[in-house]
Amino acid sequence: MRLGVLLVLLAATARAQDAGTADVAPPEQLSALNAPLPEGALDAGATADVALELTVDDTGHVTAADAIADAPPVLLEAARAATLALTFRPATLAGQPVTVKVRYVVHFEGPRPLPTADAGWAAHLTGRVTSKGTRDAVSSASLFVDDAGTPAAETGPNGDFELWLEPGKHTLSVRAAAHAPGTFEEELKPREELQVAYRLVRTVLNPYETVVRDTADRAEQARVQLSGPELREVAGTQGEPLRVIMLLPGVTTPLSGISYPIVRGASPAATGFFLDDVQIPQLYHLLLGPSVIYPDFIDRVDFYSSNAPVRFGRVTAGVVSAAAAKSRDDRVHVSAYVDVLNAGAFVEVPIEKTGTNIAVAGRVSYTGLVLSLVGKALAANSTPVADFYDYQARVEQKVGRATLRLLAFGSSDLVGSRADDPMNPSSFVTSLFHRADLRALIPLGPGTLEAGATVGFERQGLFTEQLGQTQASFLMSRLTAGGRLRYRFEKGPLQVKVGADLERQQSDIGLELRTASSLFTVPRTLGVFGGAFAELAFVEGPLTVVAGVRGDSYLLAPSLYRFSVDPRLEARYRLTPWLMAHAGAGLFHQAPLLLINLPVTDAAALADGLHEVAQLSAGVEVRLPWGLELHLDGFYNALLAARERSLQQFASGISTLDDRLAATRTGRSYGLEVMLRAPAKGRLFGWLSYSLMRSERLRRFGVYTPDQTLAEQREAMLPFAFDQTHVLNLVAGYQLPWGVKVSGTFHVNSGRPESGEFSSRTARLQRTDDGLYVWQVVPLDQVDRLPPFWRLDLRVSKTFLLNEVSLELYLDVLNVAARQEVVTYSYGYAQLAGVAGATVLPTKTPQGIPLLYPSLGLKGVW
Amino acid sequence: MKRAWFFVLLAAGCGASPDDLFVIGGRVVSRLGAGLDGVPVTVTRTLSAECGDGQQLHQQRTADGGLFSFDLLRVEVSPFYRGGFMCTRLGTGFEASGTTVWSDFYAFPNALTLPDFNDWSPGFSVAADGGVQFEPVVPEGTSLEPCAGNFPARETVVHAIRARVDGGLWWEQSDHQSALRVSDDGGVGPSAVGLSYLPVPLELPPEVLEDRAVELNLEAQRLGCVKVAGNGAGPGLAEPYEVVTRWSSTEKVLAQGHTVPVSRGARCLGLSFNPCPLTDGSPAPFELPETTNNLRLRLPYPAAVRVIVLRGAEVETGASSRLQLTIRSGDDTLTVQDDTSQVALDSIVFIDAERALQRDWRRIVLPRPMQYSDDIELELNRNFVRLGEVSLFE
Repeated sequence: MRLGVLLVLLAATARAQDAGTADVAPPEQLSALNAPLPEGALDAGATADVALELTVDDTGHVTAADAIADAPPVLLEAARAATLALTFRPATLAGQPVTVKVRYVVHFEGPRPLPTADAGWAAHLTGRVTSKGTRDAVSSASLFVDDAGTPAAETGPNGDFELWLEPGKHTLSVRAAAHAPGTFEEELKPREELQVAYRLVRTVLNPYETVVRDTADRAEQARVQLSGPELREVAGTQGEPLRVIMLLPGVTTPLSGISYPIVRGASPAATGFFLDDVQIPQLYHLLLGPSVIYPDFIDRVDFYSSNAPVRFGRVTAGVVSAAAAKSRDDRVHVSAYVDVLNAGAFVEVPIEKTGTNIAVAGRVSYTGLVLSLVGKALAANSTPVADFYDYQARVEQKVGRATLRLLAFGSSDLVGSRADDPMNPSSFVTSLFHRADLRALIPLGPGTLEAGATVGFERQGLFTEQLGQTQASFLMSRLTAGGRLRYRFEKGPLQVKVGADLERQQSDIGLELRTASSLFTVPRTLGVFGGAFAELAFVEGPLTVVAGVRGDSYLLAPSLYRFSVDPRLEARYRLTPWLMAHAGAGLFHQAPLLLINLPVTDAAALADGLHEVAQLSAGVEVRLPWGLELHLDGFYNALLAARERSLQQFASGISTLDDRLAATRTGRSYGLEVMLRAPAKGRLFGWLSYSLMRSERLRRFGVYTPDQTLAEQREAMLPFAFDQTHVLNLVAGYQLPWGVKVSGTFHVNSGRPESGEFSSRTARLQRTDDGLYVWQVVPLDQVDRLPPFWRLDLRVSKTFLLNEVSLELYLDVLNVAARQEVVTYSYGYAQLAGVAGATVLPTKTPQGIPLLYPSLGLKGVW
Repeated sequence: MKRAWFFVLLAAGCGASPDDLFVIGGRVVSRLGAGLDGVPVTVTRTLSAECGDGQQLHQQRTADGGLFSFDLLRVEVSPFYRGGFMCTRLGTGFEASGTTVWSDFYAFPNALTLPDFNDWSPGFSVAADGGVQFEPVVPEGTSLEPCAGNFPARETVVHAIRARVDGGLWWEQSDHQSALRVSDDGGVGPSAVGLSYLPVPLELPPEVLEDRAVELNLEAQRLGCVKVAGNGAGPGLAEPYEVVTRWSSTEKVLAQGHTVPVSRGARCLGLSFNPCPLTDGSPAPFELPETTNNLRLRLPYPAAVRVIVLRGAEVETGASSRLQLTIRSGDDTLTVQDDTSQVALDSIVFIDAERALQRDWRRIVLPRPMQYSDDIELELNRNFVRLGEVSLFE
């Protein structure tokens, strides 16, 4: 379109009283005329004038626009609409605003004809339009030449365009959805061939768009699915998608800030972690640090707080399932970051000729340098050590209609203290694992067959060094090998999945002392775990029903067998376009648990029986105005057989009264979860999650007399060691102008019981016969709660868009207020100074850990 | 190692629970090693550092060949926030011989099988020349089970004769014999499977009785290495653990000493006590106003000192067993060292909740008599906190 502007002012007709010699000032146009040429109104090169009489009132607004000459109706209407929107400084008579009528002509010009390729003198302009800071093509962008009313060209799928133009100077305007318009000046010579690259700035910086490449699984069960900034820009998570899980409803942790999820009051080891259905033993380095998987390697994170699909077996609480990023065959992708403590990179290379895609990623820490400075600053005689690395590699190969994929990944952590004097011992805790998975996806009949094989190795333990040599070590290691088969097909409203898996675990424990040969050996533990499942989903209209059953076998060689059958049922019904209800029930089994998954412990403890949980849940999802979502869920999990071993018993060998109940222990957890979410569209994202829940176990404990003798033994259903009644998370992020993003996380949790399992044991003051006050430990059913805790995390980042690279400078601080969570109390006595006699004062001192994790880094994506 | 890892992993202050269980068992046997059923075994507790017959917690009678087993809660046997000490005693007595046997604990491992509580009738006698005859508490040839793997099987058996005056301990002397592991060829080492007692003759020198009427009885102590059983929860790491078993025989011998020390009734210069409690012939321990390593005595009359006896000398724990003594008598000075390794049965004495002392009984014979003088100074290489008696003889 061409905007024609011509203002003709002939005379000001004043309606004011004749003031004789009074001054008259005409109205002054303040706003620009915007009169787009209606499409097809004029031929190329044609012009037309529309004459109007405007009434401009004493406030400067146009109250009437009347034609004073004949004009085509479509042009007349366009001219009237445009002039009615004008604003003026009002005309004045003797200094006073007055209403006047003025003559106004709107000039229209038809589209300028562009030359064609046949015109031998025309210049040939070709180019590509991309998003600035990336190499992403912008398709369907419109290019306007010299303010024409209609686009001269539109970009194709690859962002390419082609134009023939008259020699000379031209102004090209490029407009595309979700991008700010761009204007580019070109000067062309006759018959010139010019290639250009135009880059548009996104109106909302979102370099992490989730691209759906596969048909969504219609039978996906109720879960929370996060994407985009919800995975990468949440404060306190250091850009790690897997850490965001900790802020979802139903999830708590033993210590705020540590990423060790306790899902709906279950033991941490009851939650399984999977990467593309390959189970991994740990998610995070050092429990506090980055995840063991490079963020760009993760395309999506699915979190099941209960009733996970049957393909996930031998897990009784939550499932965190990360999907590895799908291979992208368009070009090479690179991202890298560096921060105060570690650096990492991701590279993906497609080889079009062979249909191969290779992606590698990894990170390594250099904490040694920083911690050595800390050690020197504290004048300690040792240096803290917190080193880690991880790696991932994926090779994907198309073989006919099938796809082969090799995925290898691993992680290593080393924590401890290195003595400055090599004569003194240094102590370390080590944890590492490696996995390699080969998978084939083969279209077979009406469905797809997946066959996979996985090998793995993991080791955890501790060791001491002196003079560069290992003096003593206690290490648990496990070698695993397994395979799986799955087949999935759909027929009409039905979707069927069947599968089987088998895993062999070989575990060793070794204790060695340099001064003597090993005084401890445990026969190698061999465990074989197998499972088979079938799932039938019915999806028709608003109703989705998924029924599944799974059977598992557990073998502790040579002859200890356990078997389990896990039926599961899930139903979802969309009652209205804005209201959906869902409910589910299932039975789950798992090998006996310790607090954390350690090699050998699950297989070796099979003699205790299987951990068995029945899960019930129901909820609704409500779509609210302004794009908000409300999730309400209630759950009840009955621990029909709670096989949760005490870590103290395992580590120290000391059992308790309660351990005598281990063979018959039961438990339960129940609660309500609320999540109000603003999905990540546009500049704002966030959610508010709140959990009200209770987790209990049947416990046997002693009741004592004041002089510390046993009065009786009792059994009662008592709060679990990690029970936290209230947990609230408020997450919000906003994209400001100039590429600045800010986000904040506010977390509050009520305290867990001071039961002595992972804290002190509550004591109360008791007066003795001789008048002294002493601390008296209370029975397990009378313990207090540790105090509630809150923390605030903040993140701010600034994105710099270079031509094909975007750089993000970020500062992410976990617990910016450096608050200490009270994890235990120290009960003791203090001498009262200056007072005659041996006067002691009972003291109760809270002890906390100030978990503060600042992360300052720079990330680049190409 | 596992414990270290446990505390590393759970550094947030978790740990001991009052409901922690300690399973302690053992066997009561006759002198010949046969299990004795129906014998009452008692668990008692004192709320102090001094072990003794305190509050009874549990009692059961042996069965199934003399066996007993107790489940002790940590809250019963540990101060647990109260501060101070708590001592638990497991013991029994034998009706026929009157001997009592017990083991004392300030802390327990998770599960423990005690060495046998065996009966003991020492047939104890003291000859005119001071020689002491008795049967050892552990019969010769007793089998010895190594603790675990290559961990050395260590046994120390000590017999001590105790002399009491007016109910107070006047003198203690042991045969301080250790390293009782022997193999078939009589050698010692990890392969030892038999326990043979190699006694050192026990003799009472004349000075130790002085001129007092003394009641003598015999006690024995065995420091044994036993295996702590795994609890089956984890890998079952078995660890060695040392247990002290004590026997007290009721057999008594009365003896009358005839030697009077030249220091009886001496004044203790620097102490404003008259008579001086260190030379009054009373065994009661005297707490020195300030810890000191120097004693100055003014004898009632001049003498040439040749033998020095220290009774119940208590010093802070950790003092070297080598005693260095400098004695000054007039212008004469002599420094001697005494390497006698006395093993006192109650070697650790608690005088308050925080201070533990080690107690010593010494008879030091000088290589020559000191110069004739009534002014004697003793300087030692340790500070004394308490002292029962100093006796000087010519």
